[in-house]
This record gives sequence, structure tokens and C-alpha cells, in this order.
Amino acid sequence: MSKGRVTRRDLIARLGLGAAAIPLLYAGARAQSAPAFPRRLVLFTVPSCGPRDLFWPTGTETDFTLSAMTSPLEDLKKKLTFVGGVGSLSAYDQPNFAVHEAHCHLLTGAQTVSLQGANGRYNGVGGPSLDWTLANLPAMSGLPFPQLVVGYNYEGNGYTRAAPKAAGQAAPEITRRDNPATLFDQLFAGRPTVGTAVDPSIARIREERASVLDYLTSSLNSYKVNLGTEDRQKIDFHLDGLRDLERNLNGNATTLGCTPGTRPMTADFSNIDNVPALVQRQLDVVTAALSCDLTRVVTLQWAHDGGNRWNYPWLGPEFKQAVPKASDPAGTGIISQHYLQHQAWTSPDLTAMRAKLEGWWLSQYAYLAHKLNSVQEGSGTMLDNTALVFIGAQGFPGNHELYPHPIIITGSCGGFFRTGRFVKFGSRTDYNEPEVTKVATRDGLVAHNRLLVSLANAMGHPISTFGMTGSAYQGPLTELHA
Amino acid sequence: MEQHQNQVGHPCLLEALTIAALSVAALVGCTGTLSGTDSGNRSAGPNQGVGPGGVADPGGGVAAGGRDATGSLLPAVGPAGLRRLTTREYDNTVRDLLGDDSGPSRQLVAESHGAEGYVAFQPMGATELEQYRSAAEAIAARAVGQVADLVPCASGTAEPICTRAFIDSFGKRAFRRPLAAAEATELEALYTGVRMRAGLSHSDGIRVLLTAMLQDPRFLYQRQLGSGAADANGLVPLDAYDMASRLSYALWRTMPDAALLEAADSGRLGTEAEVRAQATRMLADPRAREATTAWASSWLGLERLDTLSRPADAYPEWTPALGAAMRRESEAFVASVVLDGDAALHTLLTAPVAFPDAALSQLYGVAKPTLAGGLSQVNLNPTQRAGILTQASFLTAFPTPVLRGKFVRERLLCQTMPPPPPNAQGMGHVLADPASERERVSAHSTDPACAGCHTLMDPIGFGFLSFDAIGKWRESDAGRPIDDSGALAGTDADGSFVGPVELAARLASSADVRQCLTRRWFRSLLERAETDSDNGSLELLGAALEKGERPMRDMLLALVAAPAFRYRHPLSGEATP
Repeated sequence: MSKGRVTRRDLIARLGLGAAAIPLLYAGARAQSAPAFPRRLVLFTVPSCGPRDLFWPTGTETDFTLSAMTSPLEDLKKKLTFVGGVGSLSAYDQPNFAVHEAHCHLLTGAQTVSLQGANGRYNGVGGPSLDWTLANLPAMSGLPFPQLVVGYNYEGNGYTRAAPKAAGQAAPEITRRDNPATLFDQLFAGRPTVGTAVDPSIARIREERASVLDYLTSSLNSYKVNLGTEDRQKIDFHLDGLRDLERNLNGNATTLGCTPGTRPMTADFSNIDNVPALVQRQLDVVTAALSCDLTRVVTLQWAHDGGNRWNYPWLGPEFKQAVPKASDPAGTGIISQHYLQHQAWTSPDLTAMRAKLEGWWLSQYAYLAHKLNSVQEGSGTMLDNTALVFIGAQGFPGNHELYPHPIIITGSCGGFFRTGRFVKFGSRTDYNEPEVTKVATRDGLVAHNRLLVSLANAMGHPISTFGMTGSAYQGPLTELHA
Repeated sequence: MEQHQNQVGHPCLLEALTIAALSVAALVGCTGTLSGTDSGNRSAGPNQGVGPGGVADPGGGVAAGGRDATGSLLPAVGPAGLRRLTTREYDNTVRDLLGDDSGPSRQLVAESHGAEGYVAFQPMGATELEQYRSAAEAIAARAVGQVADLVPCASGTAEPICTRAFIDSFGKRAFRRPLAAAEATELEALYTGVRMRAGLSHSDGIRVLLTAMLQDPRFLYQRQLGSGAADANGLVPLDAYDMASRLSYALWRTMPDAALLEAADSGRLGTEAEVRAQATRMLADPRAREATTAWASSWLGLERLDTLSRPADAYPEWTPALGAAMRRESEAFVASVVLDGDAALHTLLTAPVAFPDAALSQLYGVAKPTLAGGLSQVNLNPTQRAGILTQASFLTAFPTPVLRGKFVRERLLCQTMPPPPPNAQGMGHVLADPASERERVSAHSTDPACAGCHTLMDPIGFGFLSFDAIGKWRESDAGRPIDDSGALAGTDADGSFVGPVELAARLASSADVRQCLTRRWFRSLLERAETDSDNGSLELLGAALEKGERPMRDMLLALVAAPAFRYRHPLSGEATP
């Protein structure tokens, strides 16, 4: 691979063309894969969203009333599909499973594997995630950023990350940074728009970086020769990362067929009160990236399932309180999402706080849905060509239950999904009942692997299984399809 | 609705943390007896994939426990895989290489020391690589500000000639070994290539060269090469340059200095005596404080003080600066004991002293120190404070009786505590308010589902009840007088005690604690878990700690002379030279 890259660059150099000529090499791939309007998959993952009786609608499949939490989506009701009765069943049906791996299992549906982490062994990702799989389809290879992973507060171990590519491996991300201006620069800076010339200083930086990448690739390849198997794998992973950087470098040379809008203002994002602005500006940039067709597969991970660092003081004075002495006699903690996930069901006040907090993430989802819906594409909108999936990793977090997931699909993904419905799989009827501490049965739920299959199918990937195999996990959820 | 008010000290809930603490996979409960010792990766299964990985012990020919049939220790060494410079090492190395003390690692993702006390390998993905690139570009841009100093070039000498000389001399320091001719030629080609293709000046060409070298695997990683063939035991003496690096990163957390590289050049790092001599020289250098600081940080979890918060209403005196002062104090204390003092474990665990700044002295209730010339030692009330476990840093990083008891089990006794069951939050008992911390924690013992594990932690943690969650002494809790009596069980220092001073004395007398701490030092200095094959080396450390004149310092010298430090075991799949 590195050989091909060097040859290409050398060729360009020999022909006397500058970096400005590189975009031409990509034009073909893009033209080839461009239907009228591309289909997109946007996965919006949160640790949980509840309690369930305040999340799910009431009513029947086609005649339902939105809950207060989901009311910001009211005007898009015809484009919504609530998907009930789907759980991470594959997470339970395996030897390695432990309850904290909700997020890393969510988009993989795979067998977990025991991995060595900084604090001992943990159960990590045992297979590629849906977003990574789709991003690696040939049809996506011409895109500057086949996979975009963005989010806030989701740093962590392999087991807290939603978008892995394989066992123990983090996703090839272009950003883990919270600053939306940085994200904007990574996507758009230096990118020529139609009819403008490449800024020479940017072309020079690109040339320098490309030369260094070539050198490093060669150096790593010689470095690994004498290493043992495991160390060679570490270097191979490093080489993979360099290839991702190379791809981004070239992606940044692709001519834009659209205008990305304005670069978001920078703010002090270490100040937690600026988080709402940060999140919305990120969603603006993601919308621009999708509308410019820089990417078609986006994963947005907001927080994760562990740790008490994630506080939400902007939601009100109650979110600045200390954890009650009953649970924290030393009074060391401030109320966090994690605390509420565990304790909300024990009191009405805490229940209200959890609904407010997790409803806030839902309102951000609604914000993104409206942004996508504001971009015209033909006679419809970009939202119509997208499956914008809201999914919580846990059903009832008080018991670490990874079922049933709170799920909303907004948009039909180019007519693939039949929307305007509240689809309930299986025999569960307790959607509108309060959560109780008793461990709920998994009987009568369908495996979320099947939802992943449907989403892959919607994106034109004709698979029938994803992640764990076996009859219980097989086949799409055709009831969702048009 | 059932109330449950005694979920105290639940690591899942209370540490501000810890993705990692949550991650321990086992779901087993305790039976009231210990489930065995914390074994690093002694029992690790085959490492899967590239992930955050340790290295499986090939165990080639090594009998269980590293002993032969007659009970004699076999010469053996556990496997040491590739590791990446820690952010601290990165900063120190850039400082020593280029005189750039700007701390460029601020923009890198910091590694974390696990509970086991070493940094497990974290893979370098695109995100990390992009951060390293951006750091390298910034460092290189600063460095070529004085390009004539960096790359001296007599007038009349062509720039490419000077550049080649620079590649050889600088490359040897950056990569910590002389460059092979082919390696130097590749770097030369990079310089020439960018000058031609991108039309760069000499200075910009050097900048690109530096940028590349700072992202080179030979700069970012530490690998251990052998020299020559394996001996009868399958061991290979470490290559002289890798020995220099191992010494400098273990004792100084930075690149080898000129003397070390010179010793490697002239083959004077081969014998045990030569290595000891270098280490003795290095321990006298101020940079040796890096070794004790790294050890103390990983052992005491001091990193968490950087990001901790406390509710303002309950702890109005808490500020991030106070947390930083706590960290500095304990780092200074450990360095003063190990490097300047009697280096006795007993002193570390029982000396009623501190190194506070103004705010911290208020917390301890002692006179404000004069801070001229840095932190200095003050005496604390010996009826309240005894050693490192009564300093504010530990008491704040581990704020509850359960966490403190768990710390003693895991990090002083090297015993393994299983994680709480997933539904631990849902178990509970109603206690009338106000209840003291002791009353709430004691509820564990009445519930068999909790008692199995908590009887191992809580009775130890009770000894620290006189300290609140930021390490301040208190006389009462929830209106009740403090009862800080407790008991130690399952160790060689079993028995009941009252208060932290008696607990500290028991721990200081324990051979189990001494043995555990040799392992913690081993892990910190070698940044890997020990395996059974390292038992011979660990026994040498143990002997030094037992009988040394300055025990912990002697133990450091014993470690660098031990097989685990001076030899390597070929790794699976390695090309044989």
C-alpha cells in the first residue's frame, strides 16, 4: 500500500504538478458513487434515555401521542419511527459478558473479548462496529471522510467507546476533540471551493506532511522487522493510523461542491457551562459535512456509561448538588448522569432529574433532526435521505439492563423505512409503566443485531447477519421497512 | 418503594473515575476469604489482538514459580514488550534533546496508570498520531528559531554536508542509539526531497526533518533488543544502548545523558558492577526524583487529584490548587525518604511529617511554612498522623472507608478485590438520618450479599474514619464521636487497632507489605507487570528491602542489577538475529 502511495506522489512530482492536482485523482470515484442524493446513517448514541414511561409514546402503531420528553420532535412526527422491544440480547448470550460493556456492544453486537487494560483485564470489543463496516464499503472509498466520529465526553477505555473497528481497537476518528472550530478546520480548512485556487501555504503544509508520512511509513516498516508478533501488531496498528492521516490529508484536497457555512466561534470549552453551545456547534458542523457529502456515516457519542465526571450544572441548581449523604456519606461527589442512572428510580425528585438530563440529550437530537430537515434535497430534505438513529445503550440502567433500548429512527433513509410509526416488537407491554428494581425478563424481545442488519440494508449493504450469528440474531427487522 | 441508603464507598459510584475501575471483568463475589494475590499478568490468557495489551509470558521452560524441581530459582525474565514514552517522559525527553521545556505533551492524550501500577500499552490510532504530529510540528518550529546553533555549519561548508552531520549526531540522541548508514540516508533523503519538491529553505528542511524524527517509532517507543544469541536459559543480555535507555527511563524518566551514551559506546554497561555504578551516579542526580514521583503517583493514584472536585458547601476549602499542593507534598515526601533520608519503608509508612504549602498547612492545623527555597518538612501531630497514608493526598484520592480499605488490600498487600456486583446499588437498608459514616458502612456486615467482600475492606478503612474526604482531622461525624477502631485480617500483621497511627504501625511491620511494595516498584520502573519468571529478580529486591542499609534505595540498585533489568526473554514470533 505504501508503495502505491509513494509512486503516486513521485509521479505527480515528476510530472511537475503540485498538490493542487491531487483532487483530480478523486474526482472519478466521487462521480461514480453519486446517486441523485446519497443515503446517510447518523448514529446518535447516549448511555440511556428514560425513565421509560417518560420516553415512550402512548398509543398504537400509527396512532400515538409523543411523551413530553420527545415533544421537541412533534412537528417531525410523520418522519419518526419509535422502535420498541429491541435489546442487546447478544451481549448476554456469551461467556465474556459483563454489564459495563453496553456502549461498546451497541454497534457491534459481537462476542466480547477479554483484553488487557491499564487497570487489569476488561471485556472489550470483539468485532467491527456497524459504522466502521459501512465506511469501509467500496462505495464509500471515494469520500474524504468515510467515517466521522464526533462527540463529547466519551473518551475512555475500549469498552466505553461506541465505534470500534475491531477487537480492542478504537475507531479511526478524525477528531476526539471537543472544540467544534477544530472539527470544522479538520473537515473544511484549506479545502478549495469550486473556482478558487489552492492557498499556496496550505499546499506546502500538505506536501510537507505527505513527505513525513511517507518517511514514517517506511521507518515503521523497518522498525517492526525484528519485533515479536504482538509488538508487530502494535506497529501495524500505528501504520493503519498513518494511512488514516494520509487519507484525511488527501480528503482535504478534494474540491468542495458546496459551501460549508461559517467556522464556529471558539469558546472556552473547558468551562462546562459552554457545553450546550459546544454540542450544537458540533451538530452544525456535522450537518455541513453531510450536506457537502464529505461523509455519509456519522457516529455521535454523547457521554458513556461509566464514571461520575459527567455533570450537567447548566440544567439547573439541582444539578450542582452534592450526591446525597445516604449514598455518599463523605459527600465527595456532585450529582452525575451515572448517579442518576443508578438511583433515579428510588425517588420522584431523582426521577425528574434523570428525565430532565436525558431529555436534554433528546432535545439535542431533535435539534440535529431539524437541522437535517432544513437542507433541501430535491423535493424533500436531507433528513428524508438519512436514518438518524437515537439509541440508548441501556434500557433500565438501575439494573444495568441492556434492554429494551430506547430507539427512534428519524428519516426514512431514502424511502427504506416506513415512518410515522411506533413499532413494538415482542410481547412486552410495559412501555408506559414506571421502572422497577426487579430484574426484567428478556423474553419477548428481539436482538438488536437485527436492527443493525436493517440499518446496513438501508445503506445498501445487503447482509443478513451482523455481529453474533445464530437464528435469534439473524435477518433484518422487515416490519420496519417500507 | 425500597430505600437503600447504605451504598457507601461504592467504587462504581463514588470515585470520580474510573472507567478503569469499573472495567474489571469478573463478576464473582467474595466468600470472606481472599481470592488470591494480584498477579499482574501472571495468569493472563493469550493476549487478543493489538488492543491495550500486555504481553503473555511465553514461559518457555520456566517451571511454576520460576523454580526448578529442587526448589532453586531458575534464571528467568518475564517478557517486556514494546512501550510508548509516557507523556511525562515525552516532555522530559524533548527538554533534554532540544532545551524545550514547554511541556508539549499537554496536547497529547495522557496515559493512565492502572491500579496495578504500570502503564499498559495503548495503541496509536489516527487521533493520537494527529496529536503527536501537531506536537512535533510545534516543537520543530520552535527549535529552528536558532537553526545555526542546532545545525552548526562552518562557512564554506555546503548545507547538505552539515545536515548529514546533524542527522548522525542528533539522531543518535533522539533515537538513543547510533543510526545505521541506511537510516541516516533515509532521513537525508527526506530533507533533500522536501527542499526540492516543496522548495523549502535549509531551515525549513531541518524543521521537517525534526518533525519526522519526533514522530519516528525509534523516538516514540522503547523496545528492548538483545545482543547476541540466547544463553542456556534462553536469556539474552540487553543491548548496551537499550540498557542505557532502560536505566535512564527507569531512574530519570528521560533520555540517556552523554555519560550513559558514552558508556554504551565503549561497552561499559555489560557487567552488574558497571550498571550499578551508573545507577549510583544517577540516583545522586536531581533527575532521580522523577523515579520516586512516578512510583508514588502510580501507587497512590495521585493523578486523580488533578481532576477531582468536591461540593463547595461541604468542603469550602477545596480548590484545584489544594489538590495540586497535596500531590506535590506527597511527591516531595517520598523523594525525601527514598533519596535523601533513611529510605526505610517504616519511615514512609509512619513518619508524622508533611511538606505543605500555606493552604495545606491550614488543613493540617500547623503553622504556615516559609516557602523560600521550595517545600520544607514540618512535623504533624504524631497522635493523628503517621506516614504517607495519613497525608491529605491519599485521604482525598481515596475518600471513603471502603476505598481506603480496598487500597490497603490492593496496593499495600497486592491482594485482588473483585468488583461489586452490578446490582450493588439496588441492595440496601434503611437507616435513620442522621447516620454516621461508620453506621452506614457497617450495614454491609448485616447483609450476607455485601458482607463477603466488605468484611475484607471496611474494618481496615474504619481506621481512617477520623479523616474527612479531604484528609482533615475530625472529632465527630453526624453528631457522634468518631469510632476509628478496626482490624486487619488475612495478613502477617493481623490484629485489632484503634486509629490510623496504630494501623500504620501494623502495616509497617508486615512482610506482606514489603513484598507487595517490591512488586509495585518493579512495575513502575519497568512499566510492565511481573510474571512468575521474574520471581528471582523480585527476591533480590526483597532481600535489599529487608536488609539494606537504606532499604528502598538499595532496592532500586538491586533492581537495575537484577536479571529482569539486564536481560531479556525473546518474544514469541521474533526474528532470531
